[in-house]
Amino acid sequence: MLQIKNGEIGKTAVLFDRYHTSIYNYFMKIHRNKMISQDLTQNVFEKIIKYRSSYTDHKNFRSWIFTIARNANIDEHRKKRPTDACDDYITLSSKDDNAQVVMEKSEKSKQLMRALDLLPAEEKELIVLTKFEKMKFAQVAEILGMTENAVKVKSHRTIKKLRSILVNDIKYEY
Amino acid sequence: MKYLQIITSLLFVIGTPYLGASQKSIKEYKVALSNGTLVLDDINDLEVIGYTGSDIIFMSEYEDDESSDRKKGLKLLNADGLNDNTGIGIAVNKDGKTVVASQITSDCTCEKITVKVPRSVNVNIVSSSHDGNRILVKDFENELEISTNYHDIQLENVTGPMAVKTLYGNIEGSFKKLSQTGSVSIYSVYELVDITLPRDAKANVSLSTPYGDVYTNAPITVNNVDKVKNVSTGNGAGGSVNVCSPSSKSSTINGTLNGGGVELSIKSSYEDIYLRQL
Amino acid sequence: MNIDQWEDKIISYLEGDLESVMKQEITEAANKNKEIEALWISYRSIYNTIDNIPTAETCDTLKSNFGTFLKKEIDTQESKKITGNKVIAIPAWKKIMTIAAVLVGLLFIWNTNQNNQDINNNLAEVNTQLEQILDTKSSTEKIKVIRVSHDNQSPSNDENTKQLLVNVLKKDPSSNVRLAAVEALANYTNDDKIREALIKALMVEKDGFVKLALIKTLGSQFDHDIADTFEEIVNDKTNEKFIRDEVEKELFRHNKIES
Repeated sequence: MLQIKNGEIGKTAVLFDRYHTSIYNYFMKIHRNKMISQDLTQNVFEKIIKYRSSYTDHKNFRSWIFTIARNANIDEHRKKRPTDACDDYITLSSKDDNAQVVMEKSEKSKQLMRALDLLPAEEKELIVLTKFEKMKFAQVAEILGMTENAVKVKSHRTIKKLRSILVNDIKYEY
Repeated sequence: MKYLQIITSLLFVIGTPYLGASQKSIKEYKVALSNGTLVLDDINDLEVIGYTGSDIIFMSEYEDDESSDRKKGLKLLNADGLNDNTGIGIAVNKDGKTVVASQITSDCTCEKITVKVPRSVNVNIVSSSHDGNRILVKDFENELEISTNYHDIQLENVTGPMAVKTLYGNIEGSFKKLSQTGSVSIYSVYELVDITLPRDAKANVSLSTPYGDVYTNAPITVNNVDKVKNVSTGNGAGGSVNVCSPSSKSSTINGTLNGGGVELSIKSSYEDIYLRQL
Repeated sequence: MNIDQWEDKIISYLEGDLESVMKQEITEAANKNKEIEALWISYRSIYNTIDNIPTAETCDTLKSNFGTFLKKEIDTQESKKITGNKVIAIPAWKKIMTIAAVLVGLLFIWNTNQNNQDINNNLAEVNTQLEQILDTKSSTEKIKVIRVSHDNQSPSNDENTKQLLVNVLKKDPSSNVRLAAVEALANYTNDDKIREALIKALMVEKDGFVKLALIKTLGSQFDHDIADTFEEIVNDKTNEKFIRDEVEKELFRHNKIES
């Protein structure tokens, strides 16, 4: 990243290769829409080039790039583009599972995504960052501008809420 | 004034009629105090209701369980040397014009404590423990102070003056009128604050949320929008991206409502503020 | 342990926060209690489902679009290098605007001096009120007067006001009032004595909320003494986690901790 900051913007291609899937998946979990997620991912990397001078070397790069992703997402919410949720990528396949198991797992995954949609935006984001992106609380705290402890407390509360929605509203069969 | 009375009254019975089923009853404990301060210390689930009487009435639903017989004739004692002198898991002591009620049991599943407070008594609710369920204050018009870490706070039909703060809890409040005595401050660090005022409420308003947004339908005349001094600039992962940084939009909004009046300050460090007008 | 505590324990275990021996404790409790069993099975299933959701594949258009954008940026950067030494002339209208801005500034300073007399008169009144409120019992009255003393748009350097506020911070039994005093003293953090008083208060303050306010206020005027105090707080494991987190964040912000 420092090389990019110092002017070698061609090196952004390396960062793109390393992080674009992760960023794209962050947007997919939030919007469940391929076109919007693609636009936003493109937007994030354009911003990295644009604001490269503001990156400082002692910062965690992953937190920094997700902070940009988060802000792109906030801008998107302001635009309020109509979206059609699409979960076709969720269709699972595994060598070890038979068709019945694959179907059950896919159904559970789709139910989980529907429950996630019923959470307020900020709680949904918290689940995406901590559970799907498997980020540490400290990193998420840096992205959300909260303390690590606050993220931990909120994350606990939100997973409880998610379970309650799944069990009571979605009739999730565990 | 030394009048202390325990009334244990069976108000209702829940449960199946067969033998051995658990029974729920409401226990009451009264202390006379017509004016002064009631301090409620570390009570996990608390409801405070203002009323026109002259006694402070503590109430709790009590359920007999299998350990009730074992506890018979014994009193709960905690490490501060406080005894359950009420039969509902709290110690109540009166010293002049101050009554202090402290929760004795360490079992945070204990039943909700409801306290009916005479209109002329001030209430000070403090909690420094790591437990905290909910504090509800209802129909209350005197001075109210709350300082807690984990409780959610709900204010219903209140007027102020008040100073209310919680670290990890939401604060939701609806005012029936806004008192012009003293001041009103309502702060949460990590959760949202949602306040509803009557249409004619007069106030000098200060709304501050460094990482959140302020939503309102109240006609506030904004005097100035000061950038908060201690926002991170240039070093934070977020702060370094000027146009995107959540901290770059940090602001305190100072203004007046209906020409100005009581000092009303609302803060949420990390979440949104909702200020509604009926 | 009640059901809520079991629920927290199950989540903590699945998050990897608890020792593996806890699993046995949880499964034993689940065998005995249907409610705990339902929680345990449902959470385990939810966490498994989260882990099972596959990574969505990106399409080639994303990569090619980014490649096109990157190429354009590289070309723009190259052309900037070529024209980089060009002298930029300041247009005449900008010069006029600059002069006008300086004149407005001078007018503002003159006007401020005129207002100082009024502010000093107000200040005497505020100080008297502050002195009086130290003896009153109403916290919301104290907060009101303190707020008036710092809501002043040009906070004065009046020593009396500052000392009164420090006394409130030291002595007032109400944490809400002490918090108001910290907010007011935040106006004077460039004063060494006030910074010292705030550091001392931070070391003895018991209320978490007031501590956070002190950390934020001191963090805005970071110096060696504050850094030492903050490091002491971070290293003292008896301090609450959220306090150490907040202090660490301030140290991080001032580049005292590497990520």
